Parts: sequence; C-alpha cells; structure tokens
Amino acid sequence: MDILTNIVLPLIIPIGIIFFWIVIVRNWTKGKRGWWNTYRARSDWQTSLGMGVIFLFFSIVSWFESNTSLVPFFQAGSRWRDASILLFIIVWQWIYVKKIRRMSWRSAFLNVGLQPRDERETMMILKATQLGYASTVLMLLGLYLIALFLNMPSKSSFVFLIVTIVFFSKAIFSYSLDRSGYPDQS
Amino acid sequence: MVERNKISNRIKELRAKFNMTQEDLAQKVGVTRQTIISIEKNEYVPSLLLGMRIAQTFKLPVEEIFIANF
Repeated sequence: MDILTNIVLPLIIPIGIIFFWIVIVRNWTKGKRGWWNTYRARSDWQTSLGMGVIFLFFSIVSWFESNTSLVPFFQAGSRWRDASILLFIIVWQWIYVKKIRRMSWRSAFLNVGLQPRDERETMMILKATQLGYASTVLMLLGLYLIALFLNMPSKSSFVFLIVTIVFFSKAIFSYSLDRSGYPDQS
Repeated sequence: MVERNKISNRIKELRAKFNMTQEDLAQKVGVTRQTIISIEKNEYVPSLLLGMRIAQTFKLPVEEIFIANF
C-alpha cells in the first residue's frame, strides 16, 4: 500500500486546509462579519444556481461517455482514504457549525443553518424549507424516471445529476427566502 | 378600500399616540423591527401571542388593535 497517497496526503491536506481556515477566521478577521460567517439569501441562491448549472453541464458532458470513473474512485480506492474523506467532512462540519457560525446542532439541522429571530422569520424559513424539500423530491423523482426509462449509460452523469439537484434545491430555498425579504444573518 | 378576509390593525396610529418608534415597540414585544413594519403594512398577521403582547403594550384589548374584515 502506498502510505503517502493513501494515508498521509488525504489526512494532511484536509487538516492543512482546516488549519488555514481557522487562522483566517480567528486571527485575521477578529470577529468581523463577512461572507465566511454571514448568510445572505441573494448571494446564496445565485451561487447555488451557478454551481447547479456547472454540475448540469458536467452531467450532460459525461452523459454519453460511458464514464464510470467516479464510482470506481470509491469502490476500488483505499478504505483509509475514504475514511479520511469522511473524517474531513465531519470535522469540517463541526468547525463550520460550532466555531465559525457558532450555532447549536439543533439550529444547524432543524432550521437549515439559520437562526430565526422571531416568529415571522421562523415562518419564512418554514415556507422556504417546504419549497426546498418539495422541489428536491420532484427533481429526484424526475431523475429516477430518467434513469428508469433511458437506461443511463454513465454512472458519473448520475452522480453529477444528484449534485445538480442538491444545488438547485438550495437555490430554490434561498430564492424563496430572498423574495420574502429575509434579512442578512450572521 | 378594505380587503375582505384580511386583518388590519391600528399599530401605526397607536405608536404615534404613545410616541413610540418601530424599534421601541419591537424591543418591547421581542421581535425585529422588520416584523413590526410587516404587521403595520398588513403583510404579516402576527400570532395570537404576539398580538396579545402588542395589546398589552398599548394597554388595550386585542380587538381594538386588530380588526378583522369579514
């Protein structure tokens, strides 16, 4: 087993990124408000829409290529590498929720990462969440039908389409909040 | 024109009478200023609890502040 590629690099790179991020957030910003700790509905839906379009493009490009590279990446790779990716995601979520946004886990999961300040904001988030979940279900159903009837040749395209759906749902959620006048929030 | 099946209110009028800003009222009843603005514009109908808090602030019964147009 190549220790450098399978254990050292997958652990050192995420830890390095996280460490660099902490240095930026904690020391350079000194409690200032910025994009790193502020939710802005407008920029969030625009970014999510942009990412969704990019992944839709990837899906279309990889549609006809019989490309299965993404699936073997997880199937044939080292378990250590997969575990370190999972560890990175968990540690990153902990840092983002507890240290950067300074939220409780309850707020992070139940209020989709937002902290409503009163009943009106709670209603706004509830409506946007309902819309977000409904659109996710519809798009996943659409993807299921496509996969069922078109016999998708590319597994990479399937994975990319799921990522596209996640970004489009986030865009719909934030767009709904933006339209209802939800304020910028740290 | 008064819209049917809507709830209008006298909050703006009462604030002026009590010499209160939107921010003052928001702080007293524990909501944001944006929420007071939305209620005053009849864009948002407050919960019963918030309605009662507002009524308590102006020392009036709820039905004298919020008027249902059936």
